[in-house]
Amino acid sequence: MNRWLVFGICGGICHIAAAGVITVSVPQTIQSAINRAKPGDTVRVMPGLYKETVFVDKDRVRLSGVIQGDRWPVLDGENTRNDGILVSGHGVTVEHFMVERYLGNGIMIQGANNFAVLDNRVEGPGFYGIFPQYGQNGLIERNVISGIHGSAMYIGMSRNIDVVHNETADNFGFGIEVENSQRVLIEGNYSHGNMIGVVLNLIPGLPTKEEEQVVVRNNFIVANKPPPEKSAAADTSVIDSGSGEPPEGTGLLINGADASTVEGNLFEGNPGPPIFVMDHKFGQLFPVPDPKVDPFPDETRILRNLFVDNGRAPIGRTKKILALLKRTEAPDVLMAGYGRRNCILGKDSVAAIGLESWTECAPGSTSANLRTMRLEKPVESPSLTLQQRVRLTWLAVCTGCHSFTMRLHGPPMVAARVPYMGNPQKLADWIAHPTKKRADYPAMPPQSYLPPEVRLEVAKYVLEIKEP
Amino acid sequence: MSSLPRIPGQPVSAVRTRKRAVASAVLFAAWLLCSADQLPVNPEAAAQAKYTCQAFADKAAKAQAAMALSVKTSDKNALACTADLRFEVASGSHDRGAYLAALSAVLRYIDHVHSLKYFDLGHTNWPEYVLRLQHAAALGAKLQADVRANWPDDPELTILSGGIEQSLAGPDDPQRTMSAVERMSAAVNRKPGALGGLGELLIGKSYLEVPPIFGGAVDKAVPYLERAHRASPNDPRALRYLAEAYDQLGERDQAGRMLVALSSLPAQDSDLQTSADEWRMGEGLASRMHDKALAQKFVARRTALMDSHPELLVRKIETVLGHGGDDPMTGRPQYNSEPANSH
Repeated sequence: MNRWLVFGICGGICHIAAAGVITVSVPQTIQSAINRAKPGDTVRVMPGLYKETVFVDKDRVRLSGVIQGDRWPVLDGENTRNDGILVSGHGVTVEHFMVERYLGNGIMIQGANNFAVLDNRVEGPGFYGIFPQYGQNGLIERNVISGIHGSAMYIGMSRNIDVVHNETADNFGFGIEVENSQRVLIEGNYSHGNMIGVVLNLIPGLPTKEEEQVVVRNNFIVANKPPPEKSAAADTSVIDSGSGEPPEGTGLLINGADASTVEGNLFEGNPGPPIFVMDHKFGQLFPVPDPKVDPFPDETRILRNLFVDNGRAPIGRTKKILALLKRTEAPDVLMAGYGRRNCILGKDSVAAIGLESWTECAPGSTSANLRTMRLEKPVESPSLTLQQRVRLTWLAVCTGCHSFTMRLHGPPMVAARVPYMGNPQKLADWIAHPTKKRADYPAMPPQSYLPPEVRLEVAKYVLEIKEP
Repeated sequence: MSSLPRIPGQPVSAVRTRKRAVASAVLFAAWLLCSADQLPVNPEAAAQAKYTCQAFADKAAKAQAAMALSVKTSDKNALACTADLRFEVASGSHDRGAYLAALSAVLRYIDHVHSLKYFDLGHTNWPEYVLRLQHAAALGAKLQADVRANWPDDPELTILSGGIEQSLAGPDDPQRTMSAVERMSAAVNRKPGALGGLGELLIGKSYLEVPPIFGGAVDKAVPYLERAHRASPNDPRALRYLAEAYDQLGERDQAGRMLVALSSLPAQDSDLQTSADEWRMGEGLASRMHDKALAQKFVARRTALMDSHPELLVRKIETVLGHGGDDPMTGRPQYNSEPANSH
């Protein structure tokens, strides 16, 4: 036999062998399967209840739930664990899971590229439902998220992302939030019953200083106002009147983001304005002085949208603002602050306040030629260095509960680390199997899903952090 | 002895719940509304907010102590005591100079607390800052009432009173801000350049910050800021606000000139914390204008200043809940004069 043919067959077999399938069912853990998996493998998770945090730090793993009738694989945080699924491997797909009762993130993608999050159902009360951060070239499609206390869908400091055909409903915070990201398509989503439907949010004080080229198109943004349960949580806020509150009841909020396109959306039954555009000086949602961030929303394009029965009963901050203008109802577009080179189609036919400096968009302006924001080919993704993994773990996992100097869910790190100074291994061992130490804090959830070398390096990092 | 108002206690579990809600509210932009009369109840924060000022027998000793404390411009408790002592010296007297000093101290303290509050991305310490602001606002209100009764047309006292109003107004009360602007405008018309152009500076800042729908206008801000700059050519704030205004108007050359002037100021011409803070802002603006050399000059000057004065506040934004801090992909701090691998 021709040795090249043999080589070709072998290569094919080897490839098939490399892309193996590992099936998991209760009482096995998903993490044990991930630990056995090689890059390119599929981990099939049978229906059942899995009480764990899953950490995927291998490339090209497909973590695929199996749905049988109405039986799903359910990841249950039991209201004690922080994160459901954490992904830091490139090219990972997470699909067909029910993720519920986690306190931090349902599904988080940390510094990984070429990811897909498909057909999952995420239930609160976490901070975020689905949260890609520092990712490039990702797809988030057909997920349903509700009951989240922060943002149901949160695209953080990422680029080339499609968020399509998802439903975000009855979340305490925002339905879909895009924060300091570039080239994001938000299309065909149904966002209803959230504090605000969709938010394009440029936040000062973060390492990424721009948000631009987000297209919000063909979405149903309907009846967004705080869920009734919000009243129970309202008294826990420490926001005082010196800070800008988010204008709840708004359909789409653009806060300082540039080159946003809003086209073909149905805005219906939102009690506040369907579209609210603000700069940071007025918005002050995050009043951090950060002059590397341009505070003004520039080059916004508001094209053809359908506005039905919005603005009839403004609430919260919007109500206060409108009262100052001696109005009781919100317009279809409200602009508070400064911005440059913004335009709207049919300026005279849209009820608006504050658009004096806006121009009429060029006739025929449309984003119809845009099919996706993702890249044609997977973006080249060198594996994360250990230091990057450590810093991302600190950011994604540790700071979810610990501030350096202040009390959060856990004690200040500056105090918590004292018994471990000079002995990082002791700290690494402890975070894998923590015990309750302080009467006035909850027990720390175990971080044993982290590989030992990552735990050790994170421990070293935590012990070395300097107090400025 | 002086302390911030005590706040009723609450179970720790409730505090924990609140902390979590606060964090999500801030970092996930899922704020929960709270009106001014529903201020947070947090025994920890209340404890942190406490400070103690040394007691003095007479006004002369209080004034002397306040003078000594006022130079500690990076120390919230020193500034708090300065405000309290100045208030005690002025209150009930007919000493115009004492009122000038007291209003200045209260305004300085409010601005300092606002800065602390704004750099706290996670809002972890906001309850304390809110308490401090409430306390300062109460001092300011009493002083303002006395000023209105005794010196209603005094330009300097009117400017300082207006500055306090403006500083406390917040973004949702533009009418209060514009009302303060009106009073300060009348004062600077009576006495241009009073207090080294502070009135003009505050008016210009207000016009920059208030949205057009409520009467703000960048082109109205510029002449006031130019007058403030002429009155105090070495005030870094006037230069920075002017740079911002010119940048917003698209006058990049003018903005660049202001930044170059800001980068060349002697640090000691202002208080050192203000110089350090304005140079940080200068680095940011220069970076946004793609002037790397100028940004680097700010970095170099600020780093040298911070190195030689470790008591100055770095203004590094704490890493909380997946946000802030150094870039996890590169390990670089957001501002080059910040120490790396710190919180």
